[in-house]
Amino acid sequence: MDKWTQQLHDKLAEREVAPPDNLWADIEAALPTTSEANQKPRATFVSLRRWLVAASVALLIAGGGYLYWQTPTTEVPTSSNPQPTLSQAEPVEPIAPTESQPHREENHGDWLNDSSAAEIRVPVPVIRPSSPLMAQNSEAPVKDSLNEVIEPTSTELPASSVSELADNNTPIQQPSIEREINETIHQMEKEIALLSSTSHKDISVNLYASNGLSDMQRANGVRMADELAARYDFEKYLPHSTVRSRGAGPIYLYGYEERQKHHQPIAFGLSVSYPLSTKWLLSTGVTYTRLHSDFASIINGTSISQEQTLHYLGIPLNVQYRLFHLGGLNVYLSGGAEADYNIKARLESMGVTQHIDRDRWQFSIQGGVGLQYDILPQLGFYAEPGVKYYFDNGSRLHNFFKDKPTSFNLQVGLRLNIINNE
Amino acid sequence: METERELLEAIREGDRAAMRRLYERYKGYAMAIGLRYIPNSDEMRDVLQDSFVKIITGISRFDYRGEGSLKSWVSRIVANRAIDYVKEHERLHFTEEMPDDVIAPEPDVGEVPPDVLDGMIGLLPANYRVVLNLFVFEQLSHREISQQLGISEQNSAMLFYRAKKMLQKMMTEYKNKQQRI
Repeated sequence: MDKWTQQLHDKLAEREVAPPDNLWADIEAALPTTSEANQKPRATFVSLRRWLVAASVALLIAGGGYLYWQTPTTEVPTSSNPQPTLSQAEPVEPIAPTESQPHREENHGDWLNDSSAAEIRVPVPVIRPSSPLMAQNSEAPVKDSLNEVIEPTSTELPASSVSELADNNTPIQQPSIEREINETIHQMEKEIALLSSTSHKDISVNLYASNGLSDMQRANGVRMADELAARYDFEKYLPHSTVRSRGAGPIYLYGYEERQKHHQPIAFGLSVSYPLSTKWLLSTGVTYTRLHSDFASIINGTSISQEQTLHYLGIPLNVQYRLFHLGGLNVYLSGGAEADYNIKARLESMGVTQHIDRDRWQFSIQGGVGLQYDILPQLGFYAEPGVKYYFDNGSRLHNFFKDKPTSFNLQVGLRLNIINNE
Repeated sequence: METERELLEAIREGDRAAMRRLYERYKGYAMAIGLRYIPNSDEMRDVLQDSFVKIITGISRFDYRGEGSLKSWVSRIVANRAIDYVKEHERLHFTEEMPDDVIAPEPDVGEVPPDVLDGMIGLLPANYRVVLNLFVFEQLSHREISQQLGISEQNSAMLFYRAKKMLQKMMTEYKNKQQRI
């Protein structure tokens, strides 16, 4: 600041002018009842995060619940899960097996010959004569065959009956039943395996959140403008060791400093993945990203702070390549590009909100490794650590994208397979 | 006299009387700052009211850095609100023209009364006025001004140069007029 400008400053800087009368009454009337109003911006963001968590949990519960109830269930009845049985449908008479009776009790081996066996309630599968299994109908629906054909019951057997059973030479059908059950279970396992192997033909919806892995901070001196520096003969007035003339490098103003801190970006979004083949998937969707930066200009110990918040909506386009899967864990590579549009920009300077120009379109490329764990065949949880590069879009705004173009991030989300093309 | 820290603590506890004391303490200072951006006192009334509402409601975010920092904060808020107002109500035209290289003697600031000087600043075109105020009274660098107004640093420096020359010309004319009387 030259002498004339400094004089102007000194003459008017501390000047006071009486404001209009009764202004305080208007100010007081405009004040909120509590001074806590200033906490709103932070509270809004906290509630946004809570909302996100709540939405994710709700989706997980809703999706999981839906899938649970929609997934065909195959339960092998047990004694603790009573089903309608012959013994319930018809009065059970003490079993006195005869050769004419088509149903037989299980051969429990030598332990039945023990005298204590009389006190034991033995679970006995009861077989209906008309059952498809008895008819060796392997085409019978799994559910029917399990729920209607094989029905466990408990029948208290007198010791004599037990010994009779042990001595009975009637061909025992139980191994056949077990074989049928095993075959049925085996068939179900094959169906589940088939379902898993064909899941690559499902379109999946991904709900995710992404976070950068680090903030970015910087503190700089304030460089004297060359035009201003040209007015001073530094060589003449300053010790030689401290002189950095115009030709030797920039001259920084004493007592001036600029600090900036870019908080890590926070993003969340919704995307849809479409399988291109058994190994490749294409995904796109919409992503919301929030950037927040703190700037401070320190002038002779006085700090002027600014907070900048930028909101972007982006469209990502990614491809994924499945590497391998191990149990319920899938490992894949992911890469692609994203275009982000700055929908809102806000600069708050010392508590006063200012309008600033929005950022230009921001393009970026990204890559990462993904780990997905399938909670259910149709629902997976995934995490994708990755790296992202933001291209310089030429705007004047200082933000995380500009000052840290290459950054590592972590994306976590839920992947829901909703449509089966089979 | 109550320190800024004591005043701050009282306001943060919701003391309405302390809020009034803050207003009484800085109202004249704030009004003078605002009038250098918005010469019309009726328009300035609304800006000043809005500024003090923002100051009081946003005081929990103020980072106290010693005596005088509250005053600086008040001045920044008033200046920013005034700039917003000017942006909304006056045409801010920023050109990249190079300034005319007029070499003239710089008049003595001390010979012009403060209220007259304020009036002269008020007569400057809005873009000159804003840049001059930010540079001289808010003591921002041209880089900071360029960031705040969305213009280049060179443009900021050029606008300040022109504002200064125009102000000096008005001061010289005023001085000559006074000498003739």
